[in-house]
This record gives sequence, C-alpha cells and structure tokens, in this order.
Amino acid sequence: MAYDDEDPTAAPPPAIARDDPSKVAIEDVEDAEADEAIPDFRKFASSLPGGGASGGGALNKKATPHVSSKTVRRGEKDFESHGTRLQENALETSRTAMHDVLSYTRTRTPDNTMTGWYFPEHWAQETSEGEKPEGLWRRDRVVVLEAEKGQMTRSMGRVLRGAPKNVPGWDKAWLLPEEALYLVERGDLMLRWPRGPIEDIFPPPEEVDGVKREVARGEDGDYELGLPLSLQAAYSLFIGNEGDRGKVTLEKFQVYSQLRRTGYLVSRASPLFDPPPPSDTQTLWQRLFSLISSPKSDTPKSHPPMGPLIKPGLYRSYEPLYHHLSLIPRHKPTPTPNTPAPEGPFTVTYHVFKSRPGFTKTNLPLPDFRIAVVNARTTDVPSLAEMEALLDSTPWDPPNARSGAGGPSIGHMYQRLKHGWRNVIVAVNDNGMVSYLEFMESAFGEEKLFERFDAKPGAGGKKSSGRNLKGGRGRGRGGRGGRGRGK
Amino acid sequence: MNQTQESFPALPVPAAGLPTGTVPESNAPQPDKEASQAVVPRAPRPPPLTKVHELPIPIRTFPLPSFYPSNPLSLIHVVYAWITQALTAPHEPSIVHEGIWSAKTRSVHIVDAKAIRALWEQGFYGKGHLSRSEPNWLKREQARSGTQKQHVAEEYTRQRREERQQMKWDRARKEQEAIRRVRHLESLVAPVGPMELLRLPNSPSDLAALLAPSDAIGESPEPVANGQAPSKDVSASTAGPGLSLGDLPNTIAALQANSSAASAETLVETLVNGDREQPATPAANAYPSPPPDAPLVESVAQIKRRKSVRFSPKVESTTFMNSDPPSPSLGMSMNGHGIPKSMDGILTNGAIPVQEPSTLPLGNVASSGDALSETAQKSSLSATSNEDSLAVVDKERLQLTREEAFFLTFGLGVLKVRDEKSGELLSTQELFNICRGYSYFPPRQLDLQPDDPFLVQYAVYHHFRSLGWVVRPGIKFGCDWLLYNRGPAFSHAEFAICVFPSYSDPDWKNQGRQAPAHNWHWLHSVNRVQSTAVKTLVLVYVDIPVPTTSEPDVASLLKQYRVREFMLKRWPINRRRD
Repeated sequence: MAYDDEDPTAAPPPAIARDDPSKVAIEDVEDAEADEAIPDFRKFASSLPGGGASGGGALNKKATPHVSSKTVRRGEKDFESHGTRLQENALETSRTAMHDVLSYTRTRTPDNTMTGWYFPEHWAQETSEGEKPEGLWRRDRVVVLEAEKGQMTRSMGRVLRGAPKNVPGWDKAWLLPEEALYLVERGDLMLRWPRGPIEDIFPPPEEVDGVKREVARGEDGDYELGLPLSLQAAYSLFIGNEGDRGKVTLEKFQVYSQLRRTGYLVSRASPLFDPPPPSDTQTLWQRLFSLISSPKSDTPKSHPPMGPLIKPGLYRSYEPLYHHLSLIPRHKPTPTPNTPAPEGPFTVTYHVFKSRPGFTKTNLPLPDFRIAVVNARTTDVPSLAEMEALLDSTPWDPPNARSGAGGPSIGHMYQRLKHGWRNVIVAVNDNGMVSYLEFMESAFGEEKLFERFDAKPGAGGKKSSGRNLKGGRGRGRGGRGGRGRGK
Repeated sequence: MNQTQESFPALPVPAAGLPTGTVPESNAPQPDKEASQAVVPRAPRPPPLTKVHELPIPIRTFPLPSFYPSNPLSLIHVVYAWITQALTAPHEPSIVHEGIWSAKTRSVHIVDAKAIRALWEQGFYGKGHLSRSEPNWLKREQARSGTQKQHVAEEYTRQRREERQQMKWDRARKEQEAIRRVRHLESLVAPVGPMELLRLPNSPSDLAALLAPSDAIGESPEPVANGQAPSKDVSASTAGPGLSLGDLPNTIAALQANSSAASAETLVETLVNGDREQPATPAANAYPSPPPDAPLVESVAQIKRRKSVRFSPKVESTTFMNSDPPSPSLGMSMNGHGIPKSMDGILTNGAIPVQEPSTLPLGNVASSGDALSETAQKSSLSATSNEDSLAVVDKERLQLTREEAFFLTFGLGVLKVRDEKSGELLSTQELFNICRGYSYFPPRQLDLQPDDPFLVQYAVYHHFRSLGWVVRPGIKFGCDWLLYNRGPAFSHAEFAICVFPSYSDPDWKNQGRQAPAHNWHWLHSVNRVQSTAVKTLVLVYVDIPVPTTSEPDVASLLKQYRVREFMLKRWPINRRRD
C-alpha cells in the first residue's frame, strides 16, 4: 500500500536545529517519509515464526494464528544495479521473503466464524424515528448475527434496545452494510441468504417453550434455512449509490475498510455523540471587560475613504498604527456558529477512534477524528460555503491558551495557528486510492503579529526563532541534500 | 569482470600514500576554497540584521522612555523626551517616496536608491529587477569586480551550493568506493554461479583479447603513444558496470583531443619518454578520465564537474554548473597558463602539461582549475578594474507589484506614484483604477467588477499586512503569497497562501456566477510542493460583495470583502493511530 504515494523527492529530514514548537513540522516531514517507504518483506518474513529466509515451506508448515497481527515494516530503496553479488543476493532474499509472505496459508478456525443472515427489509418499515441517531441507523441495518464472537464485534453491530420485543431478532446484534462486508472480506462472517421469513431462524420466544430451536438445527438445517453467499454476492448486495437504504457507496466502504485494517475503530458519524457546544459562560467581570475592550479590537469606525489609512502624525507605538490599518473584517471563530447543516458530499461520514482498552460500542467515547469521504473524480475542492458548513458541524476545538503574558514565542504562535479552532479530515478517494487531508478552521486575526513589534528592542530580536536563526540565510544546512528551500 | 579486476588494484593507492605527488583526496577541494578566500577578502562585519530591518513598516514610532517610580530621575527623562518631541514634532511618515507606474511591466518602479533601500529594509517591499529579491545588483557587481569588499546574499548562496555539491560528490564517491571494494572482494572468490561461469572466457583467443590491452597498460607506456590502444582501454574500463558514464568523453573537445592524440603521437612519445619516472604519464592521452592505474581520487576529482544523473534516494539532482568549462583541466590549459612554448601543439588539443608536475601536481590540476582561471581572470582584470569600477552605475530599480504599491499608497501613505507617460502624480483613486484595470488582459478602462483579480488579491494582501505579516509573492512556490514573520532575511516563510474567490452572496448565485473549480489533484500537487518546502498551506477564501450601482469609495469597498483562512495538512493514516 505504501506504493500509492511514493515521494518523488524523498530526502533525509532536514538537519536544522529548531525550537521546540516547530519540531512539529519536522515530524510531519518524517511522517511523510516513513509513510512512503517501501515495505521490507525480509524483515516481515523474519518476524514470522519459522523465519522467512529459510525457504518457502517453513511458513506453511508452521501455521500460527497470530500472523495477521504482524505488520510489514519498511526498508531502504536501492535504485541501480551495481553488478555486485551482494546486491543480487539481497534482491533474491527479498524476493523469496515476499513470496513466502504472500504464499502463507491463512486459516480460520470455525469457532471464530460468525453466521449472519441477510434481511434487507426487516427494519425498512421503521418510521422516521428510526432514522434519528437514537435509532442507530436502524433502517440501514440489514444483517443479523446469530451470535457475537471474537474481537471484531467489540466495535461492530448493535443490539437495538429500543425495538419492540415481539419483533423477531430484537435481541440480536444487527450489522450495517459496511460492517458486514468488511467481516465477510476478512473471513469472519459467513453470510447467508434466508429461504423463509426471519421467524424461521429466530422464532419468537413463546413458540419455543424453553427448548432452543437453534440447538435442534443441525448442519443440514442451515442449508434448509438459507444459502451461503459468496464475497461477490456480498459486494453486490451491500455496495450501492449514495442514499440507498441498506447499502454503502464504494468510496465509503474503501475508506472504512482501510481505516479498520490500519487499526482504528470506526463508527458512523452521528451528532448524538458530539459534545454540546460550550456555553458562553462569562463571568460578570469578563463581560464588563469585553464591553470596554471590544470596540477597540474591532475595526475603526471611520476610515479616510481615499487613504492613506495612517494619518500623518506622531505615533508612540505600532499598535495604533496597525489599528488604523485594520480594514478588512477578520474572522472571529465562535463556539456556536449558525451556519446551515452540511449537505452533499462534504458531510462527516465516520467517527474514528484510536484503538484503546475499555472501548465499548454501546458507550462510545468522543471520537478522535471525524472523516468526510468524497470522490476525487466527481467532487472539487470545497467552496467556502461547503467548507464552512463542514467545519461548523464539528465540535469546537480551540488551541491551547496563550502562554505567558509577555507575548508568546513565535513558535508557539505558529502552533496555535496550525492547530486551528475546528478540524475535520477529508478522505479523498480516487478509485480506491485514498488521500487524507486535514482541514483546520484558522483565524489569523486572533494572533496579531504586530503586537510583538512594540516589545523591548533586544528581547524581540532574540525571540524570533522561525527556523535557522543564525544568519537567516540558511547556511549550515549542508545535510539537506539537494532541496533548497529557497528564500 | 576481468577489466575491473585489472583496474581495481589501483584503489588502495590513495590510502597508502601517493608516490606521484597527487594531493590526498580530502585536500582536493581545498585549493578551490583557499583561492577564493584569497581573491575575495572577508568583508567587514555588516550591521546586524535586526538593526538594518528595525522598522516593520516605513514609519518610525517614538515611544516615550519608561518611567520607573523607584527612580525619580527617569521622570525627567520622560518629560525631556516629551518636550523635545512636542517641539520638533516628528511628522510620520516623514518621507514620501516616489514611484513610476510602468504600464509595460504592470508594476510600479522605484528609481531613487535611497527609496529602494528604505522600502526593502522597512517591510520588504518589491524586488530588484536585476536581483533575485533584495535589490543588491550594485553590491554584487562590486563584489564581483573586487573593488568593494561586501558580503552579498547571492554569494553565500553560491558558496553553500558549492559546498553541498561537494558534499554530495564525496558521498557519491564513498558509495562508489564501497561498491568497488565489494566487487573486488567478490572477484577474489572463484566464480561459482552460472552467470559468472558463462562470463569466463571460453577460448584461448578470447583470453588473449581480454588480456592484451590491459597488460599493455600495466606494463609499458607504448600503447599510450600509438594513440589507438588508450581509447580502447578506456572504453573497456568504462564498460565496467561500476564506473559512471561521466568517464566517457562527452564533449567535443575531449573527442578531438582523443583523435588528435594519434596525430600528435610523436610529441606524446617524446613526452612520455622524457618523463619515465612518472608512472602517471598516461594522463597524456588527453582524457579527463583516469588511466586505469591512476588513483581513483584523481578520477573523481577530474570528473567532478561532469553532468551525472544518479538514481539514489539521497542524491537526486543533476550536479553540474553551466558556467563551468566542459572540463576544468581543459579550460585551464586553454588559458595557456604556465605552459612551455614548445608544447603548444598538444595544448591546443587540451592535453595536460605533463612537464609541469613539480609546480602543478596532477591531483591539483583538476580541482584547482577554477582557482587558477579565476586568478588569471583577476590578474587580467586588475589592470582595467579601476576604470571599470568607476563605470559601474546602479542601474537597478525596485519593482513593486500592484498590490504592494497600492498598499504603500493607500494604506501607509509613504508612496506617491507618477504616470510614466504624462509624468503627473496619480491620485489614489486613479492608481486604484489602473491597478484594477491592469489585472485583466488586455487592460480594461471600464467595466471594473468587484471580483477583479487585483481586488481579490489585494484584500488578502491587506488583510495579512495589517496583521503584521511580511507578505511576498509566492509564485516560486506555486502559491499566491508567502507569509514571513519579520521578513525573508530573518526566517523562512511559514505559511503559503492560495487565494480562492468565493461568490456566496445570493445575488451572485442568481447571476450564475461561480468561482473556478479546482480539482483535488491540483490541491494535492500544491500541498505536496509546500510540504517539501516545509511550509504550511493556507487556503484563503475571499467572499466577494455584489456590485452596486453607485461605486463606493476605496475604503468602504474593501470593508465588504470577507477573508476566511483554512489550513491544510496531510493526515498520514499510519502515524496518527497511537
């Protein structure tokens, strides 16, 4: 997968001494590089039990159930052949290792495999109440599990507590189409097409009279009740267009399954799980203070219509000068915006959680990320309205408060600017290749750079770190390979 | 295999010490540096940057000295400062610079040298039309001719690039050496693999053909003199997979030298015979490429400036300089520097003067070629430099973009613009209309819209300037503007800005006006460029007001624009999990 986004200019990370806050940027560069290195199958093979280098047979004989938990690590690229035997051997070893890894026999034990039944119409008659987030997309849940097994169900499927008890399958976990398809693809779910109504499989309790019918059902009984479905069949049943009930678009499923495979926990986004916007709890003192200070921070009432905005005269400091220059309204982020809810593709689709102990699907924590999925070919870079609506639908996430009264360091200011006030991730899916971009609502107007100009001379000169303080001409960056950063 | 075996044993020579008087590898680049240091003496330390660029805008402030209650005398200081300022009444902006609107270049030119310095130093406005950005053409010229000992930013850049290039070559050479070493070690092992066995000579005649040229080279210099064998030998040795293509003669001069080696064979022969004690004489075959038994260092030093494309994750650029002569040694000898007259026949063909080893050790020849030519140039210049320096007149102008010029006029009031043709001062409204009209092609006089490219860009420019950022055009980074804290002399730009016009007003929608769409591929490519330059991309949307029947004045028109910033960052899926 790392081949998707190979960096044409992968270079060693810049060897620049920087201040703490700006290390973030370096990490980003390293991220990008580590993200795009080639998987080293030799290391992967040697991490498997039995050791990959010893030959193809070793792996297949010693099948262990934990291989799937291993990840492929990255190696170094070698570009040209220098005709040495050393290189040839390394290439051959790597090839063998890859072959071993790919020819590894993956097995599943039957007791980990779940059985699910496809009932697309079961919740279709639900009223619009079921459409609400409280209904957990009941109308979209089309697969019922006989029993929940294994780790996967920790975050998948929901028992619909609100459902009336006379409906068969009310106490079973129901899967969304993307969950079912992902499980089928993994080999964890045996999907079946029922011959009869749901009562045949999950009879109402009063008919049973204490005897469980599932126990009576043998191996053949399953076939009497319904047919097993192939992966292709599952795809054709679950993949559909935007807005189809009980289906998921291909882009969304690809993003869902990539996030799951990478190790995140994913749930469909719902405003239910968003925290309420913080109320404007201002103390009386703050309110009084804002009354005094707010006219000052706004743009001046009158401007000379033909300029110059700065009237000639004597100025004691730069702050009033810049106050006069302020002409174009600046954006002020608020915790309670009144933009309309997002429509169309730029809507948060999934809530993404980092994997953590104690995660339960019934009591979801606050999501770590919010992801909107768009098609790279049918959508464009969002317009202002789309961007505003998308970002305003995410919760208020202001940067850390300013540190220190004497003006923050410039690195700290950069950090605050880059953190933004809200953020959302847009997964741009180009036929299965997914690129994730994080958008932040930023407010340069909240960080007034000119406030630093009036600082005491000397103190201001030393604080400005940026990068590469000394000389400022970028000398001593010899280790950076050939990529000049320009000015 | 065979050739590499033959040619390889020369490798350990540099480590063991150089009998031929060549300079050890580590010293090879140094003559260059020393020479340049000797030619351009260190400039006197320039004033600190914080002093030069003390003012963030071309307006001076007069802060009162602070009053310390513990020190009553400071009150006197405050009062004194207040009284002097009240009496002298500094009236800022004290100087209003003058510019010329040039319709041809669609920019405003500043001609006065003082104004140029002031506008550059106090807020980094404009660009020198003969410079990269800072208008320092005169300084550069003076530094180049050696009349003024100045430090010029471009000079530092050049030096840094050379150092970096040198570092890359060293690294590449070390890689090559390691590969050669591995190959040598492998060649010592008996061939066992099928490919190696196939590569072995399978008849006595093959063996003879393989051994003949290399034997000849190794033992006697005659084949060198007959003019045919060397070329064969060199091509054979370059055919080895490890040697770079740079060894092949890739200039016409080198080829000519090669062919003329035959015609000048008698001369070469006398040369060779005259210098028996020098085993390195095969250098007379006029190739810059090394003879197989010359130390590797020499070959590296000599191919140093050649174009060479490498495919490796670390060295990714083609490294050569256009200004370099095709081969340093050729260029040097063309100058006729220190060459006996009797050698002219060979020298015009680009041969290295072999009789000079006492003064010019072979290893030096290639690397010090630049220095030598430089000194030669210098000596020739020194005669005439005095007249020249008098003739150097500052021809450089400062070019202000329309946004910069209008901000200086309308925002700060430190600039007045004259029309180029009529020579009359333009009013702010006239300048505003000119800037708007000239943002179209062809320029418009009428039908100016609120979504003029100038207005959209100016709104962004003014927005960030009024917050204290130094805003510079970002075309070199594939964006609209770059944001600097304090200015490009202090730090790199932290943010790169792309401007998007936005028509969200319902009236625009009724008119069917829409912003041009950008596809995701475009956005990704821009973002990719910014992340390699360690900048953060900021998407700036400018919401454009609808046109009104009565044209509002400049200030109230600009007040209707709304600027929204959105940061953009790649989200590496593998890295955010933990």
